[in-house]
Amino acid sequence: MPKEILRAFPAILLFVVYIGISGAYSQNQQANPCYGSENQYKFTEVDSYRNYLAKVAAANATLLDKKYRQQYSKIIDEKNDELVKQLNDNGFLFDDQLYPYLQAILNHILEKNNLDKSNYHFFVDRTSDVNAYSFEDGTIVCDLGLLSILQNESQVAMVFCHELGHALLNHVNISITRQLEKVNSPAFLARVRQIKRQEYNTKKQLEDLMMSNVFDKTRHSRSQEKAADSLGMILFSHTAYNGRNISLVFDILDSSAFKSRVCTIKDFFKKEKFNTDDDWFKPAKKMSFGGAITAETSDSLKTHPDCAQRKVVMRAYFDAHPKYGADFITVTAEKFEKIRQIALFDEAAYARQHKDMGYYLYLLIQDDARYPSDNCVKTEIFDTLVDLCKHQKAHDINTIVRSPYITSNDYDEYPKLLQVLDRLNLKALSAITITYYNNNKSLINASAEAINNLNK
Amino acid sequence: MKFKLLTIAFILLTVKGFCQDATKVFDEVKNVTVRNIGAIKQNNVIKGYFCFYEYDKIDHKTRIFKLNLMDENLNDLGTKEITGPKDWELVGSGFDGTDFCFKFWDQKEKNYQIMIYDQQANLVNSKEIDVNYGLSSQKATTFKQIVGEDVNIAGINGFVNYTFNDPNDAFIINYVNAGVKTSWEQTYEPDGKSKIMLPTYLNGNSDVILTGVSRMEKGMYNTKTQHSVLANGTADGRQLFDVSMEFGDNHVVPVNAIFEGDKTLIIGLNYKSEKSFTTAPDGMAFVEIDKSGKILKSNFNTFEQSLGKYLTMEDHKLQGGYYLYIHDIVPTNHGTHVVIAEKFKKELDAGGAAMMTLSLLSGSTAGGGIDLQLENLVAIEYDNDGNVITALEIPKAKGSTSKFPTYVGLLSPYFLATAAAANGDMDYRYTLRNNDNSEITFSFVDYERLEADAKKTQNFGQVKYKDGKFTVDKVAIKKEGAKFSFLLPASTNHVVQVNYFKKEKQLSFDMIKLNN
Repeated sequence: MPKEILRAFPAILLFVVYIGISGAYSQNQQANPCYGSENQYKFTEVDSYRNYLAKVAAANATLLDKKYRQQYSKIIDEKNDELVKQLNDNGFLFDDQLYPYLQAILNHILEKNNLDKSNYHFFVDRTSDVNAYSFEDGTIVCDLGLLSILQNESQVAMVFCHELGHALLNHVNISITRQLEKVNSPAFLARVRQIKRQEYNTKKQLEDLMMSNVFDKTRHSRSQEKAADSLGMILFSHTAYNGRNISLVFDILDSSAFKSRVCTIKDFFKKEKFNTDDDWFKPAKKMSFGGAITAETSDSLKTHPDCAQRKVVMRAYFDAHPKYGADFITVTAEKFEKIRQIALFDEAAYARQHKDMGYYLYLLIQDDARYPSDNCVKTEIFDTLVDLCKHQKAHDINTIVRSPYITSNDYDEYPKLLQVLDRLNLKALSAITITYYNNNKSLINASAEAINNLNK
Repeated sequence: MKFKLLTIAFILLTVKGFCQDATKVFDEVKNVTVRNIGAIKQNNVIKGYFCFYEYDKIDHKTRIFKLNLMDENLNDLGTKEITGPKDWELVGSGFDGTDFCFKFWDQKEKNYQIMIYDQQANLVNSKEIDVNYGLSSQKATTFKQIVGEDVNIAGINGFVNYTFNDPNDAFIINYVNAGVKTSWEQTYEPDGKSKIMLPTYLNGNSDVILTGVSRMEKGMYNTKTQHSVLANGTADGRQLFDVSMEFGDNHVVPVNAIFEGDKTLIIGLNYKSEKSFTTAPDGMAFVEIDKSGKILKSNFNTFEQSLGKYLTMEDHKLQGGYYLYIHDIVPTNHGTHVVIAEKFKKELDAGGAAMMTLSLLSGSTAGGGIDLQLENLVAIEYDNDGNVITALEIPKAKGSTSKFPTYVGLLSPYFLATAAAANGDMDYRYTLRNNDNSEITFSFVDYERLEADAKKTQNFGQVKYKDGKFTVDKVAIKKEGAKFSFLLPASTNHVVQVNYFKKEKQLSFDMIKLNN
């Protein structure tokens, strides 16, 4: 089960057309160049965690009907293996600032709600997705991307309460059991056998059967979100955090697609005085072959569905049950900003680790706009430009930079950077790299190799 | 081309093992059979790609197909389910800026179906064309080789298709436009002393569709031809004019037409002989006509007159006895025209000469030692009046065509080159441009070392014309580790490398970015 699927666990039946455009990204185990060391990705208790997962899986299986146990165990084992793999592949952050900070917020919630800490594990996923998720074993995971957009500790706590709500309501196990019951039901199996016996139209019927399952699950999953909100609000009410404006978290989640835009690509090019060609920034004409996704469908497929509706419910709850408290308990607002910087730098480092150099450059450009005098960011931008030149010369830039795509979100600057990188030829990219170096050489700590490559 | 779709496959992200029976059955949904993969163009601009695959059976003669489209960067645009006969093949495609056109061929029923879809994947117009020739018809095969099967795009105004019509050796023009819901058909039968007529799409706009018509004279050994430019009204197909391209000693084969306000510039190959299929052209022709087809001005400079300043000529040929095979003529964004040509000459080795003599004596058709030696590409830039602005050779490694059967050994080099080009057997591949003609690229293949110390590889080369300069970049065709690789045209800075990995049973699409 690939990592992406783990995040959508329990898996929703989905059809995905996969095209191996640029080959698999190879993992490159490297320390974050701008913060911390490689050790901050090492989890020292993998074995005990693995044993814990196995124990929980075995206990949960005994609660099920015997005929589903084997199938259930197989699903959970696969998920557990993937979790452990992600731990071993430096997919989670265990530094000495951000991780303990978030762990402290979770611990505060657990303590105030009299929940046994030993039943929960907490990890920080290094991706820039704006999300948090939980598993049936009590593991709660927060993405770095989420931290980089939330404004205070109260909001972080509310997100954790929501995930704890999922865990306490046993949503994952309920979903899996429901699926197992459905696909093992006499009616479902009879339908499958009936389709198999036919000579014609079998794939179409199977697809329809699967799609009905997808919509079933999506509907169910949306009701689980609302239930987790409700319990989350109760859990939050027991903490020392401030609930007055907490419903704003839905606005932040709803607009999370715009999260990393601090600087437009055009402004970055202008600031660095690169010689540009207007063609690089001309928007490509959007083409389509199929009905546009309706707003309703689009919302149901979002990571955070029904935000507007859920915001109203949450506001009404806290209006009726005012929750006074502080927005910051564990750290000050200034320290919170410092922790957000760690999150931003590390999500960039994670893109580099996965050799997604186009995204890495994009995140660095945003970080450069936020922290303009940071010499590490400047050095990394320069090194990345040199790396792109090297790969473009070798005709394999497609292995480290994805192809441009067209988005209807005008605020999304990442596809604009991809378009520019796509339209630049080697000569122009080299010229940009040299200009960048000359503009920032006092802040760039260039390696001899990078300078050597630049001169080539 | 049929093979199991491996990478472009439905990957079921599901709770694995939840029910072995159900999983196995659902896994079968993944297996589909690809019928056709190809590029979608708007004239010479790559707009995307299609993948046409068989999905399910409705009954013993009807299938459910899926037509998946991707944009020029291989991003998914959507998939349409289409029901059709089981032998359907997708043989041609195009995009007119608004709608997509697909041309399907049903070998069993012997008909073409032209279907136009809007960007919501709704069928907005269609046209069925029955063919009335035998599938092994030599004339039809020749027609298909010379005219091609792709649909032609009339600017932003719909699609033009040419079909052979056997009993009368005629051709049919079909025009379909989804925007104004127009379609018409015109049939042209050989007239006067001609035995067969071959159309060449020149250009089209909202007023007129221009077709170059080549007429071959009757008589078994008669290779004389006449050429004209035929104009049909875009709205209703009415013939507006059919103006001859025969000007005394100058016999012009029209290749391209450029609309310039009320005037149209016809650019073609000029022959001093009437045997345009078997002899080499003597130069380019630039003929300006008005809306009624009246000739306004013309220029018939020979290569010898115009190229001598830039390339060394000897005895009406390029130095070394090379001819120029003209592959394409493309307008630039600053009112000039770039002609893309390839140097070639007929080569007969000693063994081949003996073989040819023997086979001629014995009546054998075995392949002999005759082929075409392919040399550098040549780019010639002309102004609107037909004057050469610049001409240069673009170096590539020497290559050769496949060996020709000995019985064609006596045919003219240019005729052999025409046959080789029709079969894609020359080193030139295709010409593309970007939306505003500011970048024109033409590509070729060759076999040589990319680096001094590297092994010789089969390479794809792209020549780019931009801001008056020509630059070249090359990339190896085969990806390391792949069982085989082939290339699909991509936007002007790229080429799509399709790779098959035997061990993984995977087909991957790599969008390779070129450096020029």
